[in-house]
Amino acid sequence: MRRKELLKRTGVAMMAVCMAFSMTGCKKGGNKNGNNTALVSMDEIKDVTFKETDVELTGYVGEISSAKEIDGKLYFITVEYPEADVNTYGPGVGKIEEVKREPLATAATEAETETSSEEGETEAQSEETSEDTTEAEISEETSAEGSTELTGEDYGEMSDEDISAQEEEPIQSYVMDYKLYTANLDGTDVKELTYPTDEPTDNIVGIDKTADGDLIFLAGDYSSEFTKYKFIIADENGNKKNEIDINSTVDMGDDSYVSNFFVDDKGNIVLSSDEKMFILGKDYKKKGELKAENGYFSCCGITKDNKVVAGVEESAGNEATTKAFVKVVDTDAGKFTDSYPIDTTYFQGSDSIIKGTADYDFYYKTDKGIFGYIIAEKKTVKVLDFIASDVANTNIYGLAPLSDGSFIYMTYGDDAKSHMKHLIKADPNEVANKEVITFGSMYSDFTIKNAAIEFNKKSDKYKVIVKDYSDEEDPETKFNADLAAGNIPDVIGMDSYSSTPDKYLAKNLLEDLSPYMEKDPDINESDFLPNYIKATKKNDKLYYLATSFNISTIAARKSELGDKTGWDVKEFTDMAKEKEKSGERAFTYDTRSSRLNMLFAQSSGDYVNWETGETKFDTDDFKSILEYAKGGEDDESFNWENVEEMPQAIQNKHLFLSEMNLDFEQVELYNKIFNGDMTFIGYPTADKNGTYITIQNSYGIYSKSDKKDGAWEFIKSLMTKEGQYKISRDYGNSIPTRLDVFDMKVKAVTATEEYKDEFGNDVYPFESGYGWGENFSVDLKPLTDEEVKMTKDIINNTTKISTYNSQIFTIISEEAEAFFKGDKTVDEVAKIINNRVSNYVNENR
Amino acid sequence: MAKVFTTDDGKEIKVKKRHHSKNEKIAEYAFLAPSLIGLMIFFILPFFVIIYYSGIDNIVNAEFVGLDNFTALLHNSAFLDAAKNTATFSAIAVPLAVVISLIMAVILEKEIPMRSQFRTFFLSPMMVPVASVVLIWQVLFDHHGVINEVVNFFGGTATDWLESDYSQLVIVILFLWKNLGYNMILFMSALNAIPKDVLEVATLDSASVLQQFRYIKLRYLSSTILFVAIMSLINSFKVFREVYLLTGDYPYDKLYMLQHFMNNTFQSLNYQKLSAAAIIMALVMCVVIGALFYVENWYGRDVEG
Repeated sequence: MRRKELLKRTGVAMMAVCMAFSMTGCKKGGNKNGNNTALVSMDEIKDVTFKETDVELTGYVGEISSAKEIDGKLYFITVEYPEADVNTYGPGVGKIEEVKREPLATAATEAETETSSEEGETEAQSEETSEDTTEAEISEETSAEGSTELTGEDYGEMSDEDISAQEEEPIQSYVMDYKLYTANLDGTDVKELTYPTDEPTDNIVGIDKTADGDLIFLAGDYSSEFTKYKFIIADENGNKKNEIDINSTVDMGDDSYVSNFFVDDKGNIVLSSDEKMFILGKDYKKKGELKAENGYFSCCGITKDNKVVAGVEESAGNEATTKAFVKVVDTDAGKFTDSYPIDTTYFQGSDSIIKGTADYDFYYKTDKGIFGYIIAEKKTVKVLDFIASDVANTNIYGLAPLSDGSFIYMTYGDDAKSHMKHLIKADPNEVANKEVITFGSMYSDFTIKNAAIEFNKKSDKYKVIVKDYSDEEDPETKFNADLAAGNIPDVIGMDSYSSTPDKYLAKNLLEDLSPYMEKDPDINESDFLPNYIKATKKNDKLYYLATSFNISTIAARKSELGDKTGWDVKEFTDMAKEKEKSGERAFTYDTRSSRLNMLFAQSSGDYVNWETGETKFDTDDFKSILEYAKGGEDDESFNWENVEEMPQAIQNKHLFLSEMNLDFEQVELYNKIFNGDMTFIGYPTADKNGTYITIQNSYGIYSKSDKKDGAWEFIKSLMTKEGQYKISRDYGNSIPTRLDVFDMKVKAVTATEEYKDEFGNDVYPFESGYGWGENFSVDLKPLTDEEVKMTKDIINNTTKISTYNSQIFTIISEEAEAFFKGDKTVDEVAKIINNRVSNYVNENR
Repeated sequence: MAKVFTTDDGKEIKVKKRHHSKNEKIAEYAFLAPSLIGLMIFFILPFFVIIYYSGIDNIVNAEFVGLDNFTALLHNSAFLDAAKNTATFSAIAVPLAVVISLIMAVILEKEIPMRSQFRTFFLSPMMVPVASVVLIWQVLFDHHGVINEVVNFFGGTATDWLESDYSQLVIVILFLWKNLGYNMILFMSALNAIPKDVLEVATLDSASVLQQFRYIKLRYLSSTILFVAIMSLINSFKVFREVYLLTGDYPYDKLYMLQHFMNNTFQSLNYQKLSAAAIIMALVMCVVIGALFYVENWYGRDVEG
């Protein structure tokens, strides 16, 4: 009896222990260093650091546009550009042809045809650097027979003399030269092969080898309304043996294009677009067709065991995010067998999956690095981190693993030339020990990542690692959770939407940067635009820095407004009502939401006192906004198609003002649209000062970081003249915050002759153009002194940061609907808005 | 130490308290350990963390500020409005939920026709998903909803029920609709457990139905009433879910509950305000439930010994 009792108790105790272990020991996944895991220690960084070396690849002509490793050899296609601008793609000898311009009516028809044939155009040319279009396969290229400077029948501002002169000017049509090469993976033994096609409309999409050892090319013809595909079979020297039309076999759909193409080890041919995947047999007949349910195909590849796998991105339930999966394809049955979730939200390009080596069944590439996947364990291991390895990931194509665990890839350098690189795993003992600085933001674009790489290369003491919260399903919640857990990045990247500086300032998360600037020999407050410093300082302290900003304001006719530099709501609505009598409106899309948004966008501060919690949405002033907004058209029934474009509406005096996001280019553009009769009046606000600075990206130091010096060094690298100069080239025409970079920008936009700037880059005379529909275009030239003065004046006089509060505006627009529909009176709606906003304000006081 | 009991015929019976051996005590704690550890990790320790958060200025500086957060909270009009609305709602909804479900249980205890169908009918709202409940309520109480159509038909003026002073009434109806069935089942079960012989004796002693209910049934039901009241109180807080789906983060004044306040302060990283509010709410709950226990102990002492 006693033994039975003992056994019973032992059994129950063991069950209790098992339960305890299962409660405390269970965890999700099991992925080491998944995509979302930020590296925090040098040991982790050393583990995923590779050294990059150049591979000398010579003996070819032109620039490498695409490359692929096949059976241990590198096959690549080069393109040779003539000296002038290139508009046409296709094989042939590079030459310039002069063609007489067609009469306008015919030119219009040709352009329509050209537009439809250009729909398949991708950005896989060597000049392009978008990371979304990097491809391992021979890149998709489209052909455009020649572009026409279309202006249609109505040239807007152009005189008859100008029209005649343009008709006389010949069109220059350019033809590019393509070549096919092969080489060893170490860059030696480069041989030119015969380019497999002479047809100018054939664009090589992909290359591989058949089971018989022949080269197989997939060529796409984009010149007609629907893309036509064919296989070109060639011998090992590229000499064409056969052509197979596959259009009847493969129907990608009207708006889809082949983005992946390869041959598996059984000789099956796999082609996929974003929606469909086709499997063809050795006889080129269709064996299977798969669709990406709930998502789309991003990439395809082969595993170490020669299984075909497809990278699929599916909605994660939340429309704003996706989840990535790798699905195994049974090529015989033509269906998916297994599916493995991948610890990332998206793949990076159609060449993201590559064949595995050593321990990994396959590798996949994201914007963070290269990951190895072990199917048996459903485990992801980060093999290479791009930032840790100082590799800019935006230009990688032709990535291939070698048997020793290293990788080769092609890239475009800053010299716009192609280079071959070799990535070898670094010996951890040889990787320098540095202090790890974490940079975190809701979204980290390639500019900041490249800046981190540049900083890491130059710094002997610090290593910046980027934590991108956009990988999370709910970035804001994850950041809040990290905040609660004390895992806050040393450098915090902020934006103007959800992660605003004000939000973090309220939590004392940001360090005062003024002392750092005071003692720094290289950077000082006086280096920056005074208005920017004034606008961003709080209580005489500077908590964040930005590399650029824009100005939000409203432009209108100077002849109508005189010397006025601002107005309030009443003045605006009075003028708007007066203008309506003569058929002139205030908004391009004159809907209720447009009116409400414009009137309230920057004036929320007029109705809310954050000190006392008082709200004034039940005042006559606010009610007048609602009543004016109601005069607009209903958003749901508004005809968005047939709206006169803004420039024509202003010129035809159907529109008397326009909102604008001001930079140098916009000033010239709007000045021309207003025919030189332009002034900036700003948004209607109580203090009649409705022009604001908007900052897209700013950077601050976490107030409790134990690496503030390192964090400051990184922020400083973004704010030096050279650092900000480089970033300003990525951010277009935004206004730099540094005085000297600002002056460089002014010089660049006013230059009438080509020159080299102090960093050795060529600067060409500013030239740009905007077109609206087929009837109106504006050409932009170097800015005049008057335009520069206009820009400088408004910049210098703008010292307020945008106060747009999305939560308050959401409440207003929700409640205003009832008033617009006539369900409630303006008094009722104003009372409810005041009531709801009051709770919000008092809650956050 | 032994306890002595005297039987009816005068015999004394000593009952020794059994002392557990050391091994038995170890075994007892070992079996309790997993649950205790879970309770500690998921309830007790977080509560102490909340107390800590409520005493600091923010989670970055972590400087102790004493009761400043509580003082600020008690002067915060948003918190006071939320507390008032929550208290009002609970004060109306919970007694109604208890009383109406008790009446329903008493009625359904009788052998009435279609008794089983009625029971199913009252229980079915519990099975309806929250999103469906919200959809139904929107259809009913929207400005162009069914209720307003009926009101207009009879010559009245349409009201935006959820943005008027009647908004709490709408939510009370929703709460009752959802919870009456469950409470009713609990009462029915408790009514069945009342000793039949006591009721028979009362009947023989010419006690009326009302007297039996008041002096016998209610006493036996006292512990169940306590339980139902506590569960209804808890469920009254959970109504935030439906209100949130109907009206969003910042509803009309009368619907702005404590949970809205806490949810929003969490989103805005205001953990000290959130923690202080949670502690105040917990203290109030302790007082209320303590009072309920006291009343139940006093009222039901006859039947519980």
